Amino acid sequence: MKVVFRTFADFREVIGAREQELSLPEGETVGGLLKGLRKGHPRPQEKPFDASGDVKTSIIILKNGRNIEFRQHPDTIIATDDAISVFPPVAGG
Amino acid sequence: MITKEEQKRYQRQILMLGEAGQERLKAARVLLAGAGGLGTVISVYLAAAGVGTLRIADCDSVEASNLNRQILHWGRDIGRPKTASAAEKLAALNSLIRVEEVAGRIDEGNIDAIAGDCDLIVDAMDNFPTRYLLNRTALRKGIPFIHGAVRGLYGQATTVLPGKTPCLRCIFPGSPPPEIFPIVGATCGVIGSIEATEAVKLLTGLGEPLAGRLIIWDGMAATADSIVVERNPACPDCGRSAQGKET
Ligand SMILES: [Zn+2]
Repeated sequence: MKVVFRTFADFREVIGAREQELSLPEGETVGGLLKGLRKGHPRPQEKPFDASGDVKTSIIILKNGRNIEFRQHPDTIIATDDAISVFPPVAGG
Repeated sequence: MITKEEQKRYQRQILMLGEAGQERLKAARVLLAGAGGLGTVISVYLAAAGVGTLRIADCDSVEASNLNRQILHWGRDIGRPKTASAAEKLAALNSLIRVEEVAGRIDEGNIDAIAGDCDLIVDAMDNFPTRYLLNRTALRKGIPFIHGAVRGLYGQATTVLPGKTPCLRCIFPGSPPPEIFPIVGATCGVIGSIEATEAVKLLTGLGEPLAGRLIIWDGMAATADSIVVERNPACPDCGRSAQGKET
């Protein structure tokens, strides 16, 4: 199935693309998608990844404009034509 | 009514706002929550634009480490309350407006008194718990709320129109972990200017508000994107369960 994957800020630096169409297996989860990214990235010990190479759970993930609350729901299922947007938390003033 | 002095002072923006728009700015009372990196930028532009009453709330005093970005606080202000430091400069910039200082922490107990009579709430805070309080107050009172936040060379902003758009809690249900965030002052300039632009638009009815969209500024790559954001029917602050409590 095809999904649109959009990255922002330091995720964009790591992924190297602003928006891409991904082909994912049916039933893929957001957590699974991000694990795949880690494999594709040669230096996972930086920016959006923690020391063990996993994506930081504080990451913001919107599925079709809705926050999936990744920390609690990494097993959120992705469906065909979903738009997944990923960006780091920004809280300063 | 706009005076002769105001006509002269605001001439270049009256060209686009009209005198009626300028009068709306003059009649407005805006709560600016925070007098730090974002708050000092936003307040300069709103004061210069002639927003009639600027109420600035902040509980901190000026520290040396603020000076790389908090443009209304200068070397000689270290140790002064940020509200006093900001109010002094804003009064010197524009004596035709009123600047009100609220020197203290915004909390559940005082937020209604601070925000209740305002036409607009502008977020210049550095933490999400206080932002959620501003968001809830805005929803309860039906006051538009402009959110902005910065980190490093990144920033984000959105405008919440109660009952019409997602609220801040729909978009960001949980607080990010607290940190001493890295920041370059110019990022506050970008996001603060976006917030000030939104404020002028909302107060005068100009343009399309940044409603239902989150702007993400990426200073590293020098790009800006906006993401359409949706309401969460289960949002604790604006969802169905909140309706009974909050209205
Ligand atoms: Zn909400």
